[in-house]
Amino acid sequence: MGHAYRAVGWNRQKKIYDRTLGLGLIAYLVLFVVVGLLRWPEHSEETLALRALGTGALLLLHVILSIGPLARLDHRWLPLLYNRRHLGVLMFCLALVHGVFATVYYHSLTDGNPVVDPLISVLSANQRSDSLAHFPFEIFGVVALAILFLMAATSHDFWLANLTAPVWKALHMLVYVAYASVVLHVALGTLQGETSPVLSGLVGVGVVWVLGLHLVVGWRERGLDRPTTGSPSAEGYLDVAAVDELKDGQAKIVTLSGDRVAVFRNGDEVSVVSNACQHQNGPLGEGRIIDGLIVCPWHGYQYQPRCGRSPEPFTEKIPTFRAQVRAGRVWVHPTPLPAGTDVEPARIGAEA
Amino acid sequence: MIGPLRARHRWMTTALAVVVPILYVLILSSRLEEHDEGHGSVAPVNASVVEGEFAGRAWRADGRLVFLPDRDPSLPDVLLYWSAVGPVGEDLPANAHLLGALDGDAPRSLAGPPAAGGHLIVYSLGHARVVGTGPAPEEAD
Ligand code: HEM
Ligand code: FES
Repeated sequence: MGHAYRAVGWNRQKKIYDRTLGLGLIAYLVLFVVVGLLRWPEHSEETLALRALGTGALLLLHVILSIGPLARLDHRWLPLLYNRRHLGVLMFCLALVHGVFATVYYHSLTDGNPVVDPLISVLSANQRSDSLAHFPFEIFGVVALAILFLMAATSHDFWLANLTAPVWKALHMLVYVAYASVVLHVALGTLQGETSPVLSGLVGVGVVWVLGLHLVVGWRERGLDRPTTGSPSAEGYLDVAAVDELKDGQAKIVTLSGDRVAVFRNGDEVSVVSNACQHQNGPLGEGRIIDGLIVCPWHGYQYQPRCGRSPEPFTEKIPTFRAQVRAGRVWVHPTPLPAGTDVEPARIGAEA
Repeated sequence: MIGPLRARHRWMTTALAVVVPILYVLILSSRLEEHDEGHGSVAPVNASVVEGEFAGRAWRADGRLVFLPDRDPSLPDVLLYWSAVGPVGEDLPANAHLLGALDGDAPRSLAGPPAAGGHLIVYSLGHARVVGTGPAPEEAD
């Protein structure tokens, strides 16, 4: 069984992005170890490498979790969203090396002297669960790593198409559980011994930043989800906007039957489609019509406004809605038509 | 349609925004108590003496083992082990049991040894050698 998925190609922009990312990361790791050796002579290179990898992964996780809400607040962040997956996979690699290294370094001694089996040791060496501060912190690292593994393993568009966007999104929402686990991992681990307020302060600021940003954006978006009210016309259409509100090539997003819908104006035509892109549910209504096609603001998937289908050879399709223009207002029937249904656009100026 | 997904996302982030900061503050405040406990620790007269580069005193309290280093010789990654038999030169004996990590000259309260008798071994992971040894302290009656 073959799934037709759209390979997002390796374009020049992505190569530059990845190169910058890789170099930045190497600079961070090297700087961390060098500064660390000067600053904390009591720590070995191994410990510093472990810390550089752990903090590097946590730092990247903060960046990754900030991109989504920032892109909703200001479209200038969208280019980062375009390649967020590369950040995610890189972060997983860092965390993996950190986890494996910690397990091997702290919990097994080589030279034919296996003190204890490393994995059993990771999970049992710290068994001092008599107080909160003695909880075995490695367990939270293992939980986070397992989730990040699942996400990295399914990050390819093949899996996205196979699992369908809603299931894939639900799976990837576990990233918040992973984030909480990492915070506990650090608070119960390193921060128990490291009493300088710098590290605990930084992690605290990170938590407030990431979760605060999500709260602000989430509750702001909730306002958008208020359903369109007003009495329906005889045929069941709802008044959603004044024609003058619609800018050419752009959409107004409204909520109908509990879901967001994008009301697009294309010249003197009005077409209405579901707001959720079939790729990763990006907000189509925040995109634009370019060359007659709706372009998703997240990764650039395209759809024809009147039928919600991607242009050949692609096969994505999204639900469409019937629309009418009457007395300078746009009316939309709230029942979605099956994905890909062709609908004659409503015409501005040719009103009945 | 993705309305429910979006609602789930909103509730998940809201719940975490409440739970994570509370847990974080709780964990850090319980850490501070622990460190206060250690300050000004004085070893009891019957404490075991651990000798070597990383010397200190160890005793049992409420089933746990308290280790108080004499001073901080700045060795990298120092771990405290318990073993039924003593070290062989600079190597850890097979089946040594990890009690926990030491932290400079700060007093540490670690899990007690798994059996009576035996030895305490201080091991520097960074240098991969034993840096202190002594008898394991017995549980005070
Ligand atoms: C199998 C999973 C993991 C294990 C066994 C593990 C082990 C450890 C250990 C032993 C430390 C303490 C190092 C020290 O005190 O010097 C530590 C710290 C840390 N870990 Fe992990 N870890 C795991 C997964 C993760 C993951 C998935 C992340 C983040 C994405 C992470 C981020 C950190 C951070 C930021 C620190 C604090 C900085 C440091 O001391 O290294 N860890 N981890
Ligand atoms: S969500 Fe990826 S292109 Fe629309």
